[in-house]
Order: sequence, then structure tokens, then C-alpha cells
Amino acid sequence: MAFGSNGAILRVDLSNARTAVETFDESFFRRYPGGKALAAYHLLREMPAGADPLGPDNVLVLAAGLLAGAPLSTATRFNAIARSPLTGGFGESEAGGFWGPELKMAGFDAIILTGRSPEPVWLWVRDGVAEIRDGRALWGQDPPTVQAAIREETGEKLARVLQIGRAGENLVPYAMIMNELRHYNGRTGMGAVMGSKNLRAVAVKGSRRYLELAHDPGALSEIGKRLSKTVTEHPQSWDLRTKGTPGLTDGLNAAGILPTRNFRLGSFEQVEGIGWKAYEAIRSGTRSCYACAIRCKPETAFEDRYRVTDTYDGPEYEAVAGFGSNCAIFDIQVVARANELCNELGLDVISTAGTVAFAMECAEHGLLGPADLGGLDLRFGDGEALLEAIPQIADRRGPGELLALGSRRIAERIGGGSGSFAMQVKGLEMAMHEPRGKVGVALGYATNEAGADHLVAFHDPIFVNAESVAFKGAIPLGITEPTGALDLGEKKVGIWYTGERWNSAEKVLGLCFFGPAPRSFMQVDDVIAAVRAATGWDITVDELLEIGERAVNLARLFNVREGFSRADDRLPDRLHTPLEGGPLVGASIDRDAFEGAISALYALKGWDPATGIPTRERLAQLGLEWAASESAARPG
Amino acid sequence: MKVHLWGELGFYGPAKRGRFEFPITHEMRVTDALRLIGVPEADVAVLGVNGEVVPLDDPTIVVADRDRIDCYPATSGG
Repeated sequence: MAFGSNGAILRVDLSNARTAVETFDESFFRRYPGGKALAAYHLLREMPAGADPLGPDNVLVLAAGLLAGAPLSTATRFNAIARSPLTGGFGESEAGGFWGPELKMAGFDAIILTGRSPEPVWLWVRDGVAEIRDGRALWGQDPPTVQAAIREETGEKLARVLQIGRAGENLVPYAMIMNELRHYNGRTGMGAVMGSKNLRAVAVKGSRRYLELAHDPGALSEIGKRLSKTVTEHPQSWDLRTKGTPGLTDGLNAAGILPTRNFRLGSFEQVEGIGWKAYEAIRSGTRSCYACAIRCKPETAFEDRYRVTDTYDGPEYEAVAGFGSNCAIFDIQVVARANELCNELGLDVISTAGTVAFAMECAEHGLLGPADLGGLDLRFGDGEALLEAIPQIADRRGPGELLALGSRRIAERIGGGSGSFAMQVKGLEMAMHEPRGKVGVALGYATNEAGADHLVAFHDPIFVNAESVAFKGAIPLGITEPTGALDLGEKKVGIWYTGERWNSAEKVLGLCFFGPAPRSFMQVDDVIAAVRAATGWDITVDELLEIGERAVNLARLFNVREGFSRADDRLPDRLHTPLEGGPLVGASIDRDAFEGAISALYALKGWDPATGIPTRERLAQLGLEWAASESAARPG
Repeated sequence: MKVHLWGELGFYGPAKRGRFEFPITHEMRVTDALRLIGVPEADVAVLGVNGEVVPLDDPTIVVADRDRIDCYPATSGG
């Protein structure tokens, strides 16, 4: 067994109700040490090409990061990876909370779920032993009821319960997975994949402690203690601790990069209605993920025009902008209720909000109306219509049957030029970050294998000033020269390439985006020291970047096999047209410059510039020769 | 002068407060005011004076005690 791991993966064949344990050795672990890398490896190897995302052949992998469970702030993450029913490509979503750490403590680094159970079931994992249990009584129940029932049945008050909601049961392509009710694998429809397997929940409980797995538990413990004090001494983590992500809204609005009215504008005229002051009035507290001193998770509770409880998380910034400015709803109470509904029903907040904003713009242009939506009149600014739509999406009834498809498929169905209003990449609705004010984010949206995700790489403003705290944090990664937020030249592409590899490494290590530099308090040397203490490896920044790059290439090979190409690495046309309002009015992303940046990026990655397929040479450098042949990826 | 340090810039305010009064006795360049307050200029991405966004590097912009300044950080990710 390798230090930092259990050296064990749980395999669950739901068609035949069988479980098995598979072990791996250290040489394998050092290449695929957890999270995204470990999960992508198994998805690519084991899912037959062309498998139906909602069929039994899809493979859902839940993989804890290498450091998940270490006594280290932000070391909590795990990845859910499968073929996405929303995009048809590499589906990926990560979450924090307690489930990933508990999986490690229960004796496994990952769970591989295959097949489809004939009846609803749930999976119970306790200290290296797994049981598939009857889940018929849980199907259709709300998440708190399911969590309570599992804890009662197992007698484990602190069993960590990961589950889907009604949207997952109903196979909504953007259904999410939640754990502990408050932490979400939101993106790319992993909840629908779990629902398609008739698997309502996976509960885990372990008796081990991460330090028992570590090469040098004393050193790891000391790093964790030191860093937990640093959280309040660093401006970025201090801010996350003080306000959480909802504190971002006002600043993004002032900078002209708050998505507004389906990404037509960059600032919201009524931002006070959803800004920090309004949010503070409904905030009831904050919570933490496992062992994390940042404690950034906001809770809201109020009984006023709507009733919202603190059962679930948020709203986080993505919901505030998604349901607020992007749907032109300037009422934080509506935003909080919409967020609560999504969480209760198991819907991804970003895709739900993006799809509704798309439908609202279609309504403005007479392309979708009450006649198409069972009487529902979805208009910008109409909070009541939004709240009416969400449960119907989760149940796929009435207007929800159409809205549950997501913006790209709705546009394909209704036509009439509506595709130009669908703010999505590869079918995944864009996160709430306006790329016309930070163009590196656009590179991420366009080229990421899972679609328009905002956590793929660094956001450009970090690199504008070489004297800033954030910039200094990036220097150990080899980033030494500043560049403008709107620059798309060679320097920006180089920074972006480093950022993608580093962020991918974070997803392998199980570190939250809000932990490591340059985004936050944990310096690059701290990350290296933690990995060394956990594993005993003499690891360097370069090796970590390579681990991150290997994971990206596995995802790319999966997409290539499923028919994706450079043509899919494109932005919605709107981003190539001027912003219609706000401080950055007129800003747009030059199409030729952007295509040039993608070519330059492919060159750095060692991918064929015409097709976006990894070359054999680069695959060999990354130790992925096997993937070229086994994936039938036709590498260039 | 009224000062609002948004987001992580509140870290540099008195007792880590983001919103406070900062008396100044004479007009001065806004960048000098930031230095007096103790906000690292390099970490200010957007600067507002009396509700209007102003360039960070414009030496002609001056503020007086009656003014309000808003400083926004290079916010990233959510």
C-alpha cells in the first residue's frame, strides 16, 4: 500500500448486486493519485465507447483526492466522473464536505459504479465492507428524510450520506449529487447518471484517520496546524471566511463582469437587491467542510415573503448571480428560495439558472411563450415564474419537460435562431463569470472537456499586477510577468496553461479552489510539503503539474473517442459581440485572436492544432501510451 | 472621507473593517490616500470615487474629506 492511500478501490456491479475490492500499487498511484486522475483513468478504460450516458454501460467513479481527509484546511474534495448526459462528453464535478474524507477513512480511495440495479438501492460502506441495500422506501423521499433514514438504519449518527434528489431520480440531464445536504457535485449531470443506475445514496463511515495513512503524520499534522492559523492572516482566505462567495457580487458588478440578463450586460442596475448588504440580512450563519478553517459555506434562513430554512447550503455566489442578475431578479429572497428548491430537488444551480435565463430571452424574442410552456410566462425579472418553473424541471412535467433538456437542446428543438441565446459550451451552461472582462476564463470555458466551468484555471485579474498578493503566490509556478485581463497573447496563454495544470492537480489532490495560491492562502511550497508528508515522495512542482496535465489528457482522450474535436472548443457567439452595458460596455472577444490563442494553447499542450487531439509524443511523455491504443482515440 | 474596502481588501481596514471613516485634512491624490489608509495599491483592481469608476493610474484625480472611495479587489472564482 502506498502512503497517502488505502491502495483500494471498491467496485460495485449494480446489475448483479456484487461488490469487490481491487488493490493498486504505488507506481500506479503516483501516476493517478486520486480525484480527477484516478477517476478519469477508470472511466476511459472501462466505459465502452459510445455508451449511453443514462444506460448501464456508463461508469460512475467517485474518487477522493489524495489529501482528502488530511487535517489540512481545504483538503476535502472528491470527484464524480462519468459520461455526461448533458454534454455527451467527459462529465466531471467535484465537491467538498465530509464524504470524500470519510471514504478514505472507510478504507477506499474510490468507488466504481457500473451496471443498473433492477430496483432502487443504496450502498452502505463501513470500514472496508460494502453492502447494497434495498432503497425502494427511499425513492421519492426528500433528501433530509433519506439521510435520517440511512442513519437510523445503520445506527451511525455520523454516517456521511451522498445522494441524489428527485431530479436525479427523474434523469434530468443537469441533476446533481449532494452530500450532507450542503455540498454539491453540481455540474454535468452526475446525479442523473446515479439515478439511471437506480442508486439513491451512498453512505460511508470509517474508523481510520488520515494520519494513519500518512508517511510522516507528525509533519503533516504540523503543516495543518500552521496553515489553519494562516487562514485569518491572508486577505483572500480571510475574506472567504468573513463573507463566503456571496461577498464577490458587488466587486464583480463594479468591475463590469457580473453576468446580467443572460450575459448581455456586465453589471446589474439593481445590484443592491442581491449584493452583500441584502445578503447579510438573510444570512443565518456559516459552516465548514471537513477540517477546514476557512469556514466559507453560508447559511440563510428567514420567514418573510418566502420561507427559507438553513437545511441546505447557500445561496453561493453562483446562485446569487445566476438567479439574480442573470435573470434580472433583484430580490435576494427569491434567489435564496430558488437556490433552496434546487438543492432540495437535486438540480445544478448553474445549469438551472442558465437554462431559465435562456428561456427568458427566448420569450423576449417570441420564441418561447406560455403556449410552449404549459401556461408559464418566463420573463426577465419574474421571480414567481422562476420559482414555479424549478419543481417542474425536477419532475419533468409541464414546462419542465422542455426546460429539463438544458439550453443547447432546447435551442436545437425550437430553432428560430435561439441557439445564439444559449450561453453554453458543449452543452454545459456557463458559470457566472463574464469572460469578456477576463478572457482567460473564456479559454477555460471553450477548451475544458466538461464544458463551461469556471474552476479550470486562474482568473485573469490575478495576473494584472506583479506586486499583488495573488501574483506573488503564483511565482513558484514559474509565472513571473504580469499580463492584462483582456490580453490574449502568448504570455496569457502560457499563464493559462500553467493554471490549468495546477488546478487540475488540485482536483487530483482533493484541494479546494479556495485553498492553494494564487487564489488563496496555501502557498505552493505548502502544497508540496503536504504531499511529501502524506506520501513520502520527493515530489516537485513540475511533477504535480505533470500529474494535473495527465488528468486533463485523459479527459481529452475520452472526448476524442466520443467524437469531440477542436470544433467543439468554441464559445457562444455572444461573447464575440460587445457587452451591451456596464463599465466594460463594448468589450468583446476578438474571434481571430481567440482562435490564435487556442492554437497556441494546443501547441503548448502538445495537441494537434487542427484537431485538438493529443499527439503520440505528448502521450508518451505523460506515460499515457496505453490510452492512445485502448481509447481508440486516433491520436495525431 | 468615507472608505469602503470591498471583499478581501477589508483585511487592510482598521480592525479588519471594510467600511469606515478616514479623516483627511487636505485634498490629495487618490493613490496617496490609499497609501495613507494602508491598502496595497497592487491589490486594488477597481477604484471608485463618489460612485464613479476612475482609472487607478490617473494622477489628476484628487479626493477630499467630503468624498467617498470604494476599492474593489481582483476577485476571482466563486
